Amino acid sequence: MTTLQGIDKFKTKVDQSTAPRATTWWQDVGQRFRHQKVALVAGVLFLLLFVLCLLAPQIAPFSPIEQFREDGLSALGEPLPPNAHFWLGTDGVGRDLLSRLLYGGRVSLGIGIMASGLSVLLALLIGGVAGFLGGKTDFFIMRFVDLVMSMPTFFLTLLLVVMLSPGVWVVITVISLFSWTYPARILRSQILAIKRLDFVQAAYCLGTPRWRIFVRHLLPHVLPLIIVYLALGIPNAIFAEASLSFLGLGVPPPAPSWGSMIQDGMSYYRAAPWVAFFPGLAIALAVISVNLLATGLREVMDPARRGR
Amino acid sequence: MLGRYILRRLLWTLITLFGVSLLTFLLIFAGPTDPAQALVGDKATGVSIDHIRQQYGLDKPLYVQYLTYMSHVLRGDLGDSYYFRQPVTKTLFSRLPATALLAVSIMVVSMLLAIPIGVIAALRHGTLLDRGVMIFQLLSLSLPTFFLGLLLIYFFAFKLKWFPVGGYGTFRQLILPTLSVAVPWSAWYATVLRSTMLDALSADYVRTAYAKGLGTRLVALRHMLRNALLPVVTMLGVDMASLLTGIVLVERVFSWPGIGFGTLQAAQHMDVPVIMGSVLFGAVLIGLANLIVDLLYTWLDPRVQLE
Repeated sequence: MTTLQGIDKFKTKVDQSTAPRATTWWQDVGQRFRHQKVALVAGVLFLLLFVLCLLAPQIAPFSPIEQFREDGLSALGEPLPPNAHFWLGTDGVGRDLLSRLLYGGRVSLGIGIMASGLSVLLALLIGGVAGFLGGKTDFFIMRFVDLVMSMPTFFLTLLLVVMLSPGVWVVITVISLFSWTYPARILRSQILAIKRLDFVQAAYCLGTPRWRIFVRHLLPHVLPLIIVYLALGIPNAIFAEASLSFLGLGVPPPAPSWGSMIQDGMSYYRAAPWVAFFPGLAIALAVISVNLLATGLREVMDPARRGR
Repeated sequence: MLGRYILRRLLWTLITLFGVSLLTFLLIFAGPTDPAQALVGDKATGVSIDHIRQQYGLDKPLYVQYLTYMSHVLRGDLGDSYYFRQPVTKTLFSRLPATALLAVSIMVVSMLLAIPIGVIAALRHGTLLDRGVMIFQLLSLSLPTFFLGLLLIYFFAFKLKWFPVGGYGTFRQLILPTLSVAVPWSAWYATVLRSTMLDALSADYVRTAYAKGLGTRLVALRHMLRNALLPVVTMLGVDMASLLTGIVLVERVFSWPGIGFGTLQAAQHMDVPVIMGSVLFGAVLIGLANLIVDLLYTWLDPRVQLE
C-alpha cells in the first residue's frame, strides 16, 4: 500500500535536469524539415526569387516600360541579344528584359501567392463549414463542389475576365474561384475526422460556443494542411496567371508579367528567341522551387504522410 | 442496370448544365457590366443599345430573361456570334472535329507513353532509370503548356524543320500540338502509375501469382497493371477540365482551328455569346468524358458496381 510519504519520496527521486524535454508539434516539424535537404534548397531559391522581384524598384537597372529605341534595338530594328549594357537583352520595342523580368515577377509571383491564399481561404470556409456542420448542409455543399469540379473552368475564366475587364484583383479572384475545390475536399474530410475526437466532444460538453470550437480546437489541427495546400496551389496559380497574360487577358500592358512577356517574344522567336526564353525560364524556376518546397512541407506536415 | 446508371449520369450532366447556365446567366445579365453593352461591344452607343435591349428582352424582369434564354438554349439556339457573323452553334460544331481530333490524339499518346514508363519505373524502382523518370516528370510539369509548345516549335519546326509550325489538316501538323500537352501529361500519369504499381508489388494476389509459377512479365501485365490502372482512370476523369484548358492554349500557339482558338478570338473581341456557348459546350464534353471514364472503370474492375 502506498503512503503519502511514499509518493513524496518518489517525487524527490525525479531529477528535472535529465528528464527529456517536451517537444511541441511545431518543433518536431522543424526537426523533420531540417532533413528535407532538397526542399530546404528549393525554399531558399524561391525566397531569393521572391525577394529579387520584390526589390525590383531598387535593383532593376532600367525602367520596365522605357523603350530604348535608339540603343536598345539593332540596326534592323530587332531586339538586342544579351550584352554588357542590357544583361538579358531587349525586347521588340527596345525595353530592358532584365528589368521587365524583375518587375514582371512582382506581378506573376504576387498573383500566384495571393490567388493560392484566397483559394485556400475559400476552401477552409466552404469545406470546413461542410465538415463541421455535417448532415444536409454537408451534402448540399459537397454536391456544389462536384458541380464546380465538372465545369469547364477555363472558358468560365475567360468569360469572367472579359465581363469584368482585366486587372490584378480580377485575375486573383477569378483564379481562386476555380481552384478551391480540391483543398476544400481535403479540409472537409480532415475536419470530419477531428470533430469526432474526445477533446472536441469535451469542449461541446463544457458548453463552448460552436464558432469557438471551430477556431480554437479545429483550426489549429488543419493549419498544417492549410500551409501545405497553400504551397501546392502556388504553381497552379502562377500557371493560370501566365496563361491569361499570354492570351492578353491578364494584367493590362504595358505592365509586364512573365506570361505576357512570353507572348511578346512569340512574335519574333526566330530572330530573338531569348525574349520568350527568359520569362519561360523564370516561370520554370519559380514553379520547380515552390513545388519541391511544397513536397517537403507535405512530407513533414501532412498527417497522412508523417509517420511513414 | 448499366442503362439505368448511364441515365443517372446523363441526368447529373443535365443538372451540371443547368447550374453552369444559371451561373453564366447571372454573370452576364446580373453582373456589374451592362449586358446590352457587352453583347454589342464597346463601339455601339445610344440608340443601338436601346434597340438591342428591346431585341434581347433585357428590359424584362430577370427570371423572365432566364426562362427565355433557357428555352432558346434547349432548342439549340445559343444566339449569334457577331464576330464570326453566324449562329454560335454553327461556329462551335464546325470547330468540333479539330478539337476532338486533338483531344483524342493527346489522350492516346499520353497513355501510350505513360503506361510503359510507369510500369518500367515501378519494376526497376530505385535505379538510375527510375530517378531519371522522376526528374523528367518534375521538369516537364514545371513548364507552362504554351511555353513547351513554343520550345517545340523553335527546335523541331524552326531549327530542325521536321514539322510544320502550325495549322491543321495533315498528320505532321498534329504531332507538335499533341506532344505539347501529352508529354507533361504522360509524365504525370507515369508517376501516378508508378506509385500504384509499387503498392501492388506487395499485394497478396501478386504473391499468389508468383507462387503458382507465373513469370514477372505476366504478373506485371495481367495482374498488377489492371489494378494499378484504376487510380489512373479516376484521375483521368478529374483532369478533364484541365485537359480542356491545355487544348485551348495549344490551339492558340499552333493556330489550330478548334473551339479553343475560336473562343479566344471571340474573347478578344468581347463576343460574349460565343464564350457562353463554349462554356455550355465544355460542360457537355466534360460530362460525357466522365461517363466514359466511369464505364472504363467498371470494365477494368468488375468488382465495382455502378449505382
